[in-house]
Amino acid sequence: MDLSQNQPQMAVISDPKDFDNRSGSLLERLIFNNRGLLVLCCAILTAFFAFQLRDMTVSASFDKMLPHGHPYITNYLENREQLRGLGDSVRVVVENPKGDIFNADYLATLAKINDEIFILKGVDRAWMKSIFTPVVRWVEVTEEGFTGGPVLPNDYDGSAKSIEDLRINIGRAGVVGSLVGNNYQSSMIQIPLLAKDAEGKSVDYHQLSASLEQIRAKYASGPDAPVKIYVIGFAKLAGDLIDGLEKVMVFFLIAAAIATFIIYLFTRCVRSTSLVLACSLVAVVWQLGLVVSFGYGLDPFSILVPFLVFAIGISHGAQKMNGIMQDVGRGTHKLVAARYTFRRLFLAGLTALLADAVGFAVLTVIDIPVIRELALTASVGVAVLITTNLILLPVLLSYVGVSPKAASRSLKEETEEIKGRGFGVVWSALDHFTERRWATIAIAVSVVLGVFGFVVSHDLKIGDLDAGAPELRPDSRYNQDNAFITANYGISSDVFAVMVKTPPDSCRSFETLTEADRLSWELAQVPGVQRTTSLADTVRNYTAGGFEGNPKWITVSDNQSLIDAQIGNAMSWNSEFLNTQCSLIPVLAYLSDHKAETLDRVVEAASQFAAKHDTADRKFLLAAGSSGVDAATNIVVREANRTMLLYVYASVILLCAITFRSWRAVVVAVLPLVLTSVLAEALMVWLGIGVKVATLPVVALGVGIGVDYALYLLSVQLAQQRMGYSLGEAYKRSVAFTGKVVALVGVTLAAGVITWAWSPIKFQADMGILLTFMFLWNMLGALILIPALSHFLLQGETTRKHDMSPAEKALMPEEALQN
Amino acid sequence: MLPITKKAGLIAALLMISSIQPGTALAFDNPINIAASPSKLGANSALLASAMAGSRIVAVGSRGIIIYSDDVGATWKQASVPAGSDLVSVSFPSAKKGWAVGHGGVVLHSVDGGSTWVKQLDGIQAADLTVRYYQASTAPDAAALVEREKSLQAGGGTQPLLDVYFESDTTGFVVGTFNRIFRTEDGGKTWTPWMERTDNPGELHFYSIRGRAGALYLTGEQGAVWRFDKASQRFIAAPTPYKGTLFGLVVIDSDAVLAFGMRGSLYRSSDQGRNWEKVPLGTPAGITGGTVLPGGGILLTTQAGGVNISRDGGKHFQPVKTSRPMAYFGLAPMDDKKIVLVGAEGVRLESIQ
Repeated sequence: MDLSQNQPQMAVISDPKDFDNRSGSLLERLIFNNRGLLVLCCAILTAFFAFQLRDMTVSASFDKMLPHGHPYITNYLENREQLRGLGDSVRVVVENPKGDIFNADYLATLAKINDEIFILKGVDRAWMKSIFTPVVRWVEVTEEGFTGGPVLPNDYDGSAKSIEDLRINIGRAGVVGSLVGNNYQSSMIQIPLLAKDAEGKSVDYHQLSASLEQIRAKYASGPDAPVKIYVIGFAKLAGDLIDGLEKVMVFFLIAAAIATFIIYLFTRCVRSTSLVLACSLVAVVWQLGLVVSFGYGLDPFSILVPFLVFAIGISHGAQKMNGIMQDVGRGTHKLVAARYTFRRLFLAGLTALLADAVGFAVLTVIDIPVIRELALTASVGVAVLITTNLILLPVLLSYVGVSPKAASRSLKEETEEIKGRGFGVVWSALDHFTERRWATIAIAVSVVLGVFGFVVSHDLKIGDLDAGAPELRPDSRYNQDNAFITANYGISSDVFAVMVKTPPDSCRSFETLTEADRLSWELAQVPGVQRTTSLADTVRNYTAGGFEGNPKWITVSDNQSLIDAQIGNAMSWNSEFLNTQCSLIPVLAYLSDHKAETLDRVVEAASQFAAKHDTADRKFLLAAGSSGVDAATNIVVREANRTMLLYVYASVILLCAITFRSWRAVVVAVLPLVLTSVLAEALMVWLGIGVKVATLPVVALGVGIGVDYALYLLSVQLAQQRMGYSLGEAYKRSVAFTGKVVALVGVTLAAGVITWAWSPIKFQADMGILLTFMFLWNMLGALILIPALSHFLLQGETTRKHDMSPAEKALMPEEALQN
Repeated sequence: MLPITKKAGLIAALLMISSIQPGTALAFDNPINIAASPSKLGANSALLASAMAGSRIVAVGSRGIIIYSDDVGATWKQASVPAGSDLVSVSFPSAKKGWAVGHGGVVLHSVDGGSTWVKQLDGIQAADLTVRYYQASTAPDAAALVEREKSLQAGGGTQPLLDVYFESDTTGFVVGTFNRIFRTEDGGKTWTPWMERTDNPGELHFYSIRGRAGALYLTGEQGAVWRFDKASQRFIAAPTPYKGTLFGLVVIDSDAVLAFGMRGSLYRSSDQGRNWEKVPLGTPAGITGGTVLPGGGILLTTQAGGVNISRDGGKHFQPVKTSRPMAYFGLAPMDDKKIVLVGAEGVRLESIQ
């Protein structure tokens, strides 16, 4: 296409009758000559998807966060039903803040709480344990044999005598540290949950969590509350996450408000601002509607997508506005201006959106369902944006138009900027970076930053670093409760389990128990392991119990009949350390933390043991428990982090190469991104954020979306250079035409995700901070480093005669093409 | 194939199979046959018994753990032990020579004060030895003892040894379940079953054997105590009125003896076990260990973390405060003021006021 032919087509036409409806590409004609139909179709689709939203569910599925392809996870999922001790349960601790638990008022309150929890939906009532449930018994060996009874005396009436009996029974039952706090100031209600309730539905964590909160509010609110209540467990965590998600939805409103404000500042036109906003919201409705139609719901990860879709939509919409404003300002009719804008920017927008899509698409290499879903829903979002913001928006603009005042203002501003006034001061300052002195300084500073970042990033850790449930903030209610319970009861929430698998009824053999005991002992030696336990310990203690408690019998006897009796006891007392078929026994290691080094050491010790001791009939399978899952996730994440960086950079380089057709330009475009990636890692070290499931998408998105800036800036600059302008002049023109857009994109994207930093969900906050950093820093990097690097690498482009590729042309604003 | 011994042939066969399936263990190593694994946790894991080897403290416990300290408990080293069985008792008649026994019927021996150990006997060898010994014996009940041992063998597994007592570097006893008792007079090179020399028709388990001042006693199930009668060279019954198991005993002097067991049961005899008197200890916890201090004080430990002392030859006891109580399993005196306590959470040194 020749530029001279292009020119008359974009002539200022104030009356649509003068405009040739047959001009423009086929797509353009198809769209604008049927704009009524198109708007109708979009309205129907929007209504349909909005209707779909009624089925939208908010969930926090932990399964989806597991790397399903990893053998540890496969082993865990295959045997999960059998692992009673690691099953789903909630622990509620009731503390007497004014003394110990042997207090009539406290016990009366505990009894009420116990009864209320007992009737909650989803509770496996038969196995609920507390000092008030009859399944909790004391057993004592006497010369005559075993005697025992429920811990709560049968004649309990709250009298001093029956409280004294309770005290004795608690001592005899050995429940201190499990059902009674080590300091006797609190007691625990252990609530195992049913996998499926009576109606065959799985437990509604959100509802259960809410019911527990109601109980907490009823008995433990206010400074004078008779008790304090602490709640931990999978269901509570999931409930808290869902609550957090609902809060994050509110952030959407804030992000939208910020974006609106920015757009308004940019356009000073209520009409067009509302239009951009409306189209971006339509995009979000379509995206969410499609997600629901596919049968997915919102989870803590995929909730990121509406934010990004909205922000990307706003920034693309704003560019459209920019074009139309100027055309209208020059006196072009709104319909014609809309068509011109579509003509100019459709391909450019498409290229940029495709670059974003690349960022999302590489996420599918990660074998973690939440990430794959994120990639899928984000791709859907990008596809939706092509329709809503590249097509629907110009069409709507052709009806609505913009306010004439804003339009003339925009044109004036633009002209001033090109002359170096107003905002143009900023842009002309940036021009200096094409000069040797400034370029050298900018690059020297970047190299220093890069080296600094690289050195710091060596301390980058894999996995989650904070104590407690890493999904939530360390100071969250849940994690405070967790810390209280960890401190007062002999339990750690970081459990690594190796599953010892045998044929049915073989878990009881002396050999298997001895091997389990050896593994347990081996793991106990690993630094970071606080305590280990397995069925072997149960058998040891039960055996001693069978011999009147004589410590000399704390052993796994090689006389099978002695073991069998204890296995029978373990079965009938519902031991968590074996399954009902006696074919699976977990060896549990309680860890001091879930840092990657700790997990690595445990994995190493357990794998070595497994390699040495596996036989045909006895397999040591890694790994279950929260730490087993963490370990597998870390392994996958470590691997995926590398692969993903490779893929995302490879695709960005390819995209740049196609667009620029110059390896030097590719270097200029990609180096600022590399600096951002390195600095983002340094920032993670500084903020104590480890590489984890949640940070993987950030890296891909940061680079994939970050390259947009370079695509805008460099393509114009190269085009100018190839038209014969010097580098300095070319960059000046480039920045004048696109600088504002680059800044706008950077700021709106950052505005879209910054609100996440306040999310109660820790990993969302981490994602928000990192994404904001990457979006903004990539913007700065592009504006400063592209001219600086160009000085050294792209001077030669000016002399090179070259025809622009259509993609290049597409990225250029019309004005840049005018001599 | 060259003619090779049966054992070497088996090993060769194993090697051949294992080369087909690398990384897959084919057999199970019985703890009696493989060395205790090295551990840094010895001083903090379950220990069942302790003894003084001269000035060195030696303690034994679960999974073949034997630890020793030459600096009054400040640092501990793990001894090299050829078996990973749970050990329950240790005896050092002198500073260098010592014996430890436990499950799997293992008898371990050290000649260097407890740094390194060799296995002198295990439950499988002991059963074979017993069968052979009584098959060759002319004792009146030898045939019954052969039958009994064979039926235990047929039941599978081994019989544990639950206590060891050496009166000198050469002479000592090991005792265990079902009337199991062996004696050596050559420092453990050879062991002689003494099962026909006990008045134990019920074949009760023996839980402890202790001697002092020429007196030697056994305790066992059902309140049973036996006194060694030099004239008849037999252990003759000296039962207490108690019906439960007597975990252990303290020989005070040639006439006085204490026997103790579960639920604070403590009995004293001042006439070599002919008559017993219950001594109230005021605790419902099982008594697990007892010893006589050099100065004559008698100490008892309980599973509830109690330590009790008697200054009147075991007639009355008072509790002693310890700094960090745990479930105690045994003790040994270092001197009149200091004791080594072992238990569920390892080893601790305590001072006695």
